[in-house]
Parts: sequence; structure tokens; C-alpha cells
Amino acid sequence: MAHEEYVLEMRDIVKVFPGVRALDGVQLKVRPGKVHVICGENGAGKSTLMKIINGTYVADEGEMYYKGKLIGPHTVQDTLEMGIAMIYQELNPVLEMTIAENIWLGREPKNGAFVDFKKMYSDTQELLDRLNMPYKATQKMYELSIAGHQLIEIAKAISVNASVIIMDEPSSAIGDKEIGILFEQIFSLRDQGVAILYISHKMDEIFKIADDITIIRDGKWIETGPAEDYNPDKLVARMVGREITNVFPKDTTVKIGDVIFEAKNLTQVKEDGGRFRNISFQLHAGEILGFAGLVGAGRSEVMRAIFGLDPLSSGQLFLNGQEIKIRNTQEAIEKGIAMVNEDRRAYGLVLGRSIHHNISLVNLKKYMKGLLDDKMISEDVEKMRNLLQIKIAHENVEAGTLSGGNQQKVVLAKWLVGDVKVMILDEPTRGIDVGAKSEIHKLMTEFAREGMGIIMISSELPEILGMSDRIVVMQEGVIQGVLDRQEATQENIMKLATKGVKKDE
Amino acid sequence: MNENKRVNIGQLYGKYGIFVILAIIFIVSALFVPGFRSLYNLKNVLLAIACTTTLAFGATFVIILGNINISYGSELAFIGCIACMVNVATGSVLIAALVAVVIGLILGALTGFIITKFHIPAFIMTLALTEAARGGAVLVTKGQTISGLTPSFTFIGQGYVGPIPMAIIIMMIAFAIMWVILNRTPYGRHVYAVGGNPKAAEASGISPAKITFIAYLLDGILVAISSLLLMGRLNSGVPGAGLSYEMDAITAVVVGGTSMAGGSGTLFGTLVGAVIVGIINNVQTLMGVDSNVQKIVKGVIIVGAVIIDVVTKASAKKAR
Repeated sequence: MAHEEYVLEMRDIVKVFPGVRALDGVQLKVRPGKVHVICGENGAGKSTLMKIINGTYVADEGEMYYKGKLIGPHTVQDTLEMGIAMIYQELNPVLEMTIAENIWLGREPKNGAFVDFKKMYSDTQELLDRLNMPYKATQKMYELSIAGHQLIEIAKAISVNASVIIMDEPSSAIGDKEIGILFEQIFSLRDQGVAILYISHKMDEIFKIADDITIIRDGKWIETGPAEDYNPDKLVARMVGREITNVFPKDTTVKIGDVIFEAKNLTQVKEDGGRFRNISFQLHAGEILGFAGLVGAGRSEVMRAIFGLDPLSSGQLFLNGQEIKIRNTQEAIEKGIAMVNEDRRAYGLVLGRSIHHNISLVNLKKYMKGLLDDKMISEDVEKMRNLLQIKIAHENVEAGTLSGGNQQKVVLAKWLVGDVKVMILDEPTRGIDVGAKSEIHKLMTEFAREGMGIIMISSELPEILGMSDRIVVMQEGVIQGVLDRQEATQENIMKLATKGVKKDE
Repeated sequence: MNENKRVNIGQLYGKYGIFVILAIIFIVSALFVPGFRSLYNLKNVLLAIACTTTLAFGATFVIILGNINISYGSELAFIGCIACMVNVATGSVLIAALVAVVIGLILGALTGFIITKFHIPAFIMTLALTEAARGGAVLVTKGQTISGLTPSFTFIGQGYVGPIPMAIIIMMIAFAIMWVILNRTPYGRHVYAVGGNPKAAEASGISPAKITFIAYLLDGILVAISSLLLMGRLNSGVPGAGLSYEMDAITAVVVGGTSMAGGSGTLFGTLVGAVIVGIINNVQTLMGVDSNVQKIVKGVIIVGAVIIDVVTKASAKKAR
């Protein structure tokens, strides 16, 4: 029997994805009329849990109770009809349709066989007015900002008369003013008895709205308690409180040389994407510079701009003390900058082509003897195969057939056959099994020993702490601090990463 | 690791299926279609496909890149007619060929530029060019057939070097050059990379726009060469010539195993695909099949080839 005091209860939820236990015995008890915040690091399993509640995923084990009743396997449509609405992190509005059409999409009020537009628009306008949202029901979605889309999404959740509304980082894309409106709505819903499940990384926000807090770490339920029992320090400590085992082959005797690369005041304005501002840092030869932060902090965006994949609005780059201009990836590569992207299937490999082709792709000029000399390429491929321990049957095997670890090694090999001075690694070991992971870490140490400067973005704190000489912590597009290896701990990184950024600049 | 050794029917078909199909079609035709086996007829098959196959080599590059060009027919008429006028005016086939190549390059550059600069779908751009180039052809010729070509021009389309038709020699030279470009130069590798995964190509220092633009330039040169073959064979500049030649060229590429989704395909496959299409056309003519029925058959073939491509791709993916 479930307890009547909870509107929603999740018991012993287990969810396994290939190679990883995303959720491992998670508990959640949600009281009606309360704001329940779920806290945890990147990859702790928060979003997975929410998707199990709303029916996107099916749990492998565990039970779900809603209003005291055991709920079996369910779909998104089922949960919506039961009264559980979810606002996703990434919105997908139909831009060419009106606000009203978006709110009622898929459940339009009908008059016989036809959509009852009159009722739809009047109901929507009533709803918008009631929620103090300054829009007309007949406005097209594209007229609204991202923040506006977020508000409409909230209106939509309210329009289904939900008892539970799940909000997955709803404030990450909107400004202070909209956050104000959002919180007003949350409080008014709460006072009407609606339970709000809220995922956030921002400490100031959490303590402004939370009634209850549940902490998840590495897929495991840690604890649940009333918000009054916590303060930011305690919360961070509980979120990261795992034991650090030193499994990283970091060699602290590698000599750190002179500054090899420097970024000064890098900014991307709104027209170009606007995802970071005033980014300055130095990278030394032989150094592994870690970039820590929550997903969406803008770390990848900074590196993509440095590498020439996205535009940089202003700022300067220096290589060995000389200013360089990078307008596209070709110019970056010519100067010895390489980047291993976080999504290796999208950016690292041409999956339908062979290992031979993928490894030689960047440095084809090197293999020209009038025409391309495939023998020379094969020799280099063989060298890389031995150096990186790439497990392949043959160099003509398609890249898409390899395991994640081997794919990542092929991506590394692609760069290593050329001359790399600065290597940017964005989540170099994500989705890679433990063995290959530690091999890649060993290789990083080797590269550093040979004088390469390495920038490593990682969302895994143990990896950041284990491998980095210094750690740059970013949040919402700015650098919140730089920590030395000696002073860095999980707690002070998380504190910087969740500090809160003033948006009035 | 056995993950590398998986082979499935989809991949096998992708590699060898086209040859099996060619062999079957050839044997069946030789056995059951009267007149097919004669040397004269086989030469006819090759002669008939010289023009569209030359087009198909350029189309192979364009389609590997995930793009398309459907304006070949009109381009042939436009470029060919101007080449004929230049030939008649100057008496020189060399100047005529040079002018043809320059116009081919201009049309290719225009197409490539508009597609890559404004991100307009290649289909729409070349659909527009189909109309415009046909209009241009009629306009420059005032709707009249250009006659009085020099014998050297006619030789391109009708002549023989020893026992081999000149048009076939030109087609095979074009094949050899394009093969080297696609297989033995960095540009060729870049074509496959951009077609297979433009994001990864860009992250490897390759500009997808540049690669695509150059492909349309190459395509333009081949259209120019093909237009000389066509007008040379007709022994005149015909503004209405080349109608639906794009169909044969694209069919050859697709039957030859190049994926419409981009990223894979070979020139050898295209050549074999062109021969298959040529044999099917030839056999139907020998058997007296109505020309409109032939068109229907061609339509069926192209859709069938794409279905095979999609289905084998899906099965290859599943095996992963």
C-alpha cells in the first residue's frame, strides 16, 4: 500500500542502459502542494528518473504509485491523461503555429469532426490572462523568445489540469524576468495543491523554491529531506560525497613548460549564439587543463569557437606568444590545434568509411607522391594501431562497426598522424568502457610528456580531479574560477559550478 | 574481436551485386533476344550510352555528396548549340570545345555557388536551371537547328579510331580522369567524407561548401564534353536535344550502387550501371517495345534501385 500523503511515489527504481546502471534503486516521494527539487551532478540520473515517471522510458525494476494506486507500464499519453505533465529541457514548439494551436496540439477541442477554433482561442486567452502571461492566443510561436516558449510550455502543462508537473531545468534558457514569472506560477500552482518536481543546478534557485529535496548520486538514491535541513555547502557535499579512488595514471612529474596557448576575453554575442563571454585562460606545454562545469555551462561552445567550428564575436588567441586568427577549422588545424568533439559519431568519424580513410582524412597532403600513396597511409595506420592499441581486424573495416573505445582511438589517431601542439578533448571518455578509458588517460599523459598542451572538458568530477594540472570551472558562459591540482576538491568545483551568475551585465 | 568480421547480405550486395545483375541481364539477353549478340549491336549499346554515361560520372560526384543535378538535358542543349554555332562561325572544333567547357564551368559554378551560399536545395536550383537552360538554347538558336558542322566536330560523335568509336574513347578517358580524382587525390577522399558526414568533415578541416562547389565545376566540364558527343552524333545543334537525359544519367548512378543519401558509391559501379541501363534500352528496342513503355520501365528501374539501396542500408545498419 502506498501512503496517502504522497501524490507520487517511486520505489526501488532500476534502469539499465547498455553498459551502465543509470538508476539503481532510486526512491522518490512527492507530496501534493509542495515543490520537490531533485539534486545531483551531471549524469546522476535525474532526467532518466523523470522520463521513467512520464513514460518515455520503462523502468527495469521498481514500482510507481500515483494517488495511491500502483501504475503499471505506461506511455507518455497515459501519464498526461492521469495528470502528470512534463516540461522538457529542450523545447520543440511548432513555430509556424499559434500559441493556442501549440498548447492544444494533439488534443484539439472538437466540434463534430472539426477543430473548434473558437473555443480553443477563447480558452487559451483565458488561460494566458489567468497566468499573467502577456501574450495573445493568436500569436505565432516564432514571434516569442525562447523564454516565451518556456512560459507557453508551462501554460500547456497547467491546461491539462495536472496534479504533478515535472520541470527539467526550466530556467536554464530564460532571463531573470521570466524566472520571476516562472516562480510566481510555481508558487500559485503549489498553493492550489499541485506537486512540482523541479530539477535545477542553481543553488540560489533551489533554496528559493524547494520544500523537499531529494539527492541522487551516480544513479543511487542518497537521501530525501525538507529544504530547511540543508544549506548550499551541505547540499553540494551530499551530491558529490563519493570516495575518490585514485585510478588515474596521472604523472605529476611531467614537466610543465612555457605558455603555449592563450585565450583572451573570448566572447560570443547573441547574433553568433551568445553562449559565453570574457573567457581568458592560459595553457602550458605539457599541461592538462581541465574544464569543469555542469552540462550547458558553455565549455564545449568555447572550444568549438577556438577550433573554428562556431564564430567567435570578439577576443584574441595566442599561440606561442603570437596572435593567431582562426576563421575555420582548416586554419586551426594548420596551426596545430586539434579537437576531439564530445559527439564522436557526429563530429569525429565518417562512419560509413574505413579506418584507413578516417585516420588519413585530416592529413591527406602528407601522403601525396603526385597522387595519394595508400601504402604510406597504411604504414601510418599500422603505427597508430600499435601505439593506441586499436583493436581492429583490418584497416578497411568501416568505422561505424567499432566499439566506442576503438572509435575514440581512431579519432585520436586521425590527429596524431599530424603535428598537434594543442589538443582539445571534449568528454574524451564518455560512453567508453573502463579498460579503454584508462588507456586513453595513459595516452593523454604520454602526449603531455611530449610537450603537447591538452585541454580536457569532462563532466565527470573524478576524471577532472584525476587528470588535470589545473581546473577551469565554468558556469553559464563565464569562468567562475581556476583551481590548482592541490586545492581542487569535488566540493569546491561544484560550489563554483553552481554559484549563480549575475545576468544584468 | 569479431565485431569487425560481420558480413551480411546488404554489404555483400553493395559490393558485388551489381556485377551479378549485369551478368544475368547480359546472359539472358544473349540467349533470348535475337540480334543482341552481334558485335554491331554491342557496339551500338556502348555508343548509345556514351553521352549519358559521361554525364553520369559527374552525377556520381554530385550524388556521393548528397546533392543532385536534374538539369543535364537542358544544359546539354544550351551548351551544345552554342558550341555548334561557334564551330560553324570559326570552323574550329577546338575553339567550339573550349567555349563549351567554359560555359559548362560557368553553369556549374552558378549552381554550386547558389546551393552552397544560400543553402538552396540542389533539386530546386537545378530544376530552375532545367527551365532556364532550355529557354537559353531556344533563344540563342532562334529555335532553328544549327547545321553545317565541320567534319571534325561530327567525328567526335560518329567517328571511329580503328574499330573503336571515338565517343567511347572520350567516355573512357573521362572515366579514367574522374576515377583518379575520386580515388587517388585528397579531393576525392574529401568528397566521400563530406557526403558521409559533413559535420565530421568540417571538424577535420574540410570545407563542405568548397568540396561541393568544385564537384559542380567538374560536373559542368563533363556536361560540356557530353554535349559535344551529343551534337556530334546528331551532326547538328538541336535546341530540343537531350530531353530527359538526366533520367538516364541518374538511373545509371543509382543502379550502379551510389546511395542517394550520399557518402558511398563508385565510378566503376556507375559505369556498370550505365551498361545495364543501356542493355535494357537496347533489348526493348530490339524487341520492338513501345518507346513509352520503355519510359515506364525506366521509371520502375530507378525506384527499384533506390528501394534496394534503402533496404540494404537498413539491413547493414541492423547488423551493426
